[in-house]
Amino acid sequence: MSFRKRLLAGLTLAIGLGALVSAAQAQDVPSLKGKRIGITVAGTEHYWDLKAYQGQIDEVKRLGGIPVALDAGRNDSRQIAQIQTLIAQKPDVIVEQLGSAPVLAPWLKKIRAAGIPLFTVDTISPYSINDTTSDNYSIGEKLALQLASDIKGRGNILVFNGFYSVPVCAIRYDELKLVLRAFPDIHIIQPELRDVIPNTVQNAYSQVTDLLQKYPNKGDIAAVWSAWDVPQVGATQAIIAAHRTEVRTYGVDGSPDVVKMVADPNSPAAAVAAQQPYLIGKTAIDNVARYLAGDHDLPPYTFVPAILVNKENAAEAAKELGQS
Amino acid sequence: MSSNLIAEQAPAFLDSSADLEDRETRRARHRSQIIRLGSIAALVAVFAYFGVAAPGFANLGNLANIVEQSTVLALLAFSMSIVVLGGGGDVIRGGIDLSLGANLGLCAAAFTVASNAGFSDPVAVAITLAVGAAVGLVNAFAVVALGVLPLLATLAVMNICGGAELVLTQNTVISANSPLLSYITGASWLGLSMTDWILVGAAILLIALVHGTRWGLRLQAVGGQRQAARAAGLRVSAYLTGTYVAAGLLAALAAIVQAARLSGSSPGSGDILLSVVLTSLMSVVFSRRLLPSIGGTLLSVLFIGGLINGFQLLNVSSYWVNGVQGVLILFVVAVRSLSLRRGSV
Amino acid sequence: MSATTAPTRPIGAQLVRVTTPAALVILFVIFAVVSPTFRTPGNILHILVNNFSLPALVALGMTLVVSAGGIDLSVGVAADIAAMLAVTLMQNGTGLGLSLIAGIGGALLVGLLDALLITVFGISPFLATLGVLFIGESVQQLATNGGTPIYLVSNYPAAGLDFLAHGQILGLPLPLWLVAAAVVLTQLLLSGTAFGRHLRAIGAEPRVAWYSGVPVRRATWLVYLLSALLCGVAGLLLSATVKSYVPLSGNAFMLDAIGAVFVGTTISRETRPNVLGTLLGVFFFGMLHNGLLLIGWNFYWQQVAIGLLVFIVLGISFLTRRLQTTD
Repeated sequence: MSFRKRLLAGLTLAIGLGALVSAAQAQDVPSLKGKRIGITVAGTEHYWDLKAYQGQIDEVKRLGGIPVALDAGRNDSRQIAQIQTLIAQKPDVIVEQLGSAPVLAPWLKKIRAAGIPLFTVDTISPYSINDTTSDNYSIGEKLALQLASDIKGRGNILVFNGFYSVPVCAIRYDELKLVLRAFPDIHIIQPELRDVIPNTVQNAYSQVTDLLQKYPNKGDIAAVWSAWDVPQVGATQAIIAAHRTEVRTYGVDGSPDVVKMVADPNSPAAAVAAQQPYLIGKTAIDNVARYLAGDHDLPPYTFVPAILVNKENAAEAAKELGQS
Repeated sequence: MSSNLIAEQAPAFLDSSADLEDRETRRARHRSQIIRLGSIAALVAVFAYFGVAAPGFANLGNLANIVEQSTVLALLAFSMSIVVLGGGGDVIRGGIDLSLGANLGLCAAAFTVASNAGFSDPVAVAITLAVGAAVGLVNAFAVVALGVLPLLATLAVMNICGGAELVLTQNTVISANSPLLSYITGASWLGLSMTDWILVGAAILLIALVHGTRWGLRLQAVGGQRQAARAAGLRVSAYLTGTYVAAGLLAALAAIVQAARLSGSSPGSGDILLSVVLTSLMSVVFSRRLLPSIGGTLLSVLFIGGLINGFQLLNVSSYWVNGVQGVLILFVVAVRSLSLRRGSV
Repeated sequence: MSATTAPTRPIGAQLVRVTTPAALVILFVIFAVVSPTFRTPGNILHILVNNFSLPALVALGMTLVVSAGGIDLSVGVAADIAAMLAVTLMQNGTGLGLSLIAGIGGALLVGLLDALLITVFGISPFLATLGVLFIGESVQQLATNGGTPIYLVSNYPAAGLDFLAHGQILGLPLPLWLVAAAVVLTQLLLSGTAFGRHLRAIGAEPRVAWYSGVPVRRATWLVYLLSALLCGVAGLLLSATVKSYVPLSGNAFMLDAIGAVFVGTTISRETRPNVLGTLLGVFFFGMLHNGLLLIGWNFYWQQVAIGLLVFIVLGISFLTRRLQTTD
């Protein structure tokens, strides 16, 4: 019982402080005072998800609202159950972040049917009033072009084919394929590799090590591509351990550690498309606040710029991303 | 109720084994009744607390949601309880089915793929049930005919099912849409959705079957005293085979509900094995004997479901849920085992 | 149930026990023929270091636990907690030695909790360690804000850490030395010593063992602490290899370790857990993962194949044993 009291006390304090800050800082964004904002995310074990989640929670508190924040721990059934309960709680708005689009679709529809405005982060949905996200078309294209130019338009690449059912991963993968069409001398080694959750790093490490054994000569493998940056971490470690640093790695998201790897001139990590997840989360909530204040003219998408971090601009980019 | 039934209807060997009970054991059984009532009281107390403290918890709609969210887990936990009842409580040599979660995933994939291939709902359901039962038969073949330890046999089958699901779905989400799926999530009767009714129906049927019929009582005899059961002329292997096949069928049923909730099949959705094991074994604290029961399993599943729901309504971080679940179960089990200890080592 | 009932003919008994090793040899030959990469010494060493050493440590601990009639589902938690503490401390600039010791300490706490629940509170090992597994997941989620990994990338002077994962002594990689040490330890405990006899007695019939004066509680404490210790070492090795801590990674070991121990029991005449069998079991799994990837099988089929092969080996082994005992 005392635990709960302390929790509530902490919560009240946080809300109180948030209200103070908001009075001082947020002139342009309307207040969320007294509003309950439901936030449901597929999982938070990845830097991107966590930062976007925290960005939302912090911004709701800053604007004086009450976040009802739910993390499904990367389990579809659990996220569905949480959304179902959330609908019954009747918050003023529900924000949904990432997840499998086909699984979520009917439940997002139910949110709208219950008369609750729905906003999304990184989830494309016809039921969403506004989706705040990075421009994944441009991310996928820039990363693929960087890869192609780094390996001079020829060579074999290993591809972690990501979670194709997650729309943003599918876009990046499709953009890679599109770019590679213009480079007939770049071949994807078959079969493509699997990403697993959890244990992603160790699994990627082990698979890449196995394949470095299978293709033992310099030049057999030119690069490793993954739709996010956690397999990139495992692949990079495996390449260093096998002394095959001529193989370059590419990924998306830009966790601070990966940006540091890219900044290291000796690391095989060649580039990462760094998103600004915290800003994405914050922006989504600002859109919510504007909507609740009566602005019903929001665009369907708000794009937050991403930065392609490579060997040349890494130090500068880290500053711009607020990571150093 | 069930102990009276045993006294009245059980075959002779159960009586003779009852004679072997000394006074200590009988006293322990009394204590276990107190624990059982205590556990139920704890459940009621927790729900009452949520009812007062958590806004909206006691709404009929919310309670129906809890049941709905518990259905898949409950069906699998029933399966586990039946397997444990028939195979005996020893964790290593006794009955256990680790393939249930993977079977759920495989069956959901089978239903989705069949449905997308143009098969009508009845045919897709038949295919799904056949897949589930086939997995159960493979388990039974390994355990009964080959004599492999259930823990091991079902572990290997778990891998096969997991791989087969990947082969079917290529590790992607596959959507399905069929009248049956919409009916399961959409239709409601007396304020309860079809998902709720599936759970209610399955629970009533299984309680009657396992605790009320001759088959169920003999099954418990097979699990409790295998040699004696064999000596009394029961076809032990037929009973054991039955438990694994029944478990497979229930997993297939759960898969159809799951496919309805997730609008198809989604990789990793079969990842609930540990919760299944936990709730099934936890049901012991709600049972009269030291073995799982269907009613006890239902109570523990609803307990866990209510806990998760109540936490969300109280805005407690979901990161606490697993831990609290673990502590709670250890606590109840410890109380039970400590109070029974004087009767046994 | 067990094979001890009928005295078996020596030749027949050997046939049963040879199923697992034979399957291992046959598959090894098939992989070696199909994939030229597979049979290179470099790849074999890679299997031993990357696919074998970590699960072997965990499975050796599990061998002790299963010998004593228990089971340990919390192995992943012990490995994770060790990695979490060590990597967090290193991240904050603590020395390597102290960080590693703290990691082992964390793992031992998990073993301590298991043993406490089993001996003092009388909870069955299965439920006790399952409960600890659930609690361990929450602890990691709460400690890492929902599961954020910690990477030791460029800011840690990682020479010592690198040595742990990739270093060699007398030409043998350090992880294999650690496995060797664990083998010696478990083999000593299981054979010869009074402790080994006690474990066997407890595993066979705990109540009888208790009545005949075997220190059941003390043995139980020791077994779970040792299992946690070995898992802790595995967790530290894992984080040294990938220079990071990723929450909830350890569970991947659990079912493979249990599988390896029981596959290993098939080479023992009394179907008892034994060190050699466990090692063969772990190697069997590791070789399959590596070999199937190298011969170019899609990962969907890899998992089916592994399940089927384990099923067949277990089936043959248990069936022949059963046929013999009913002779």
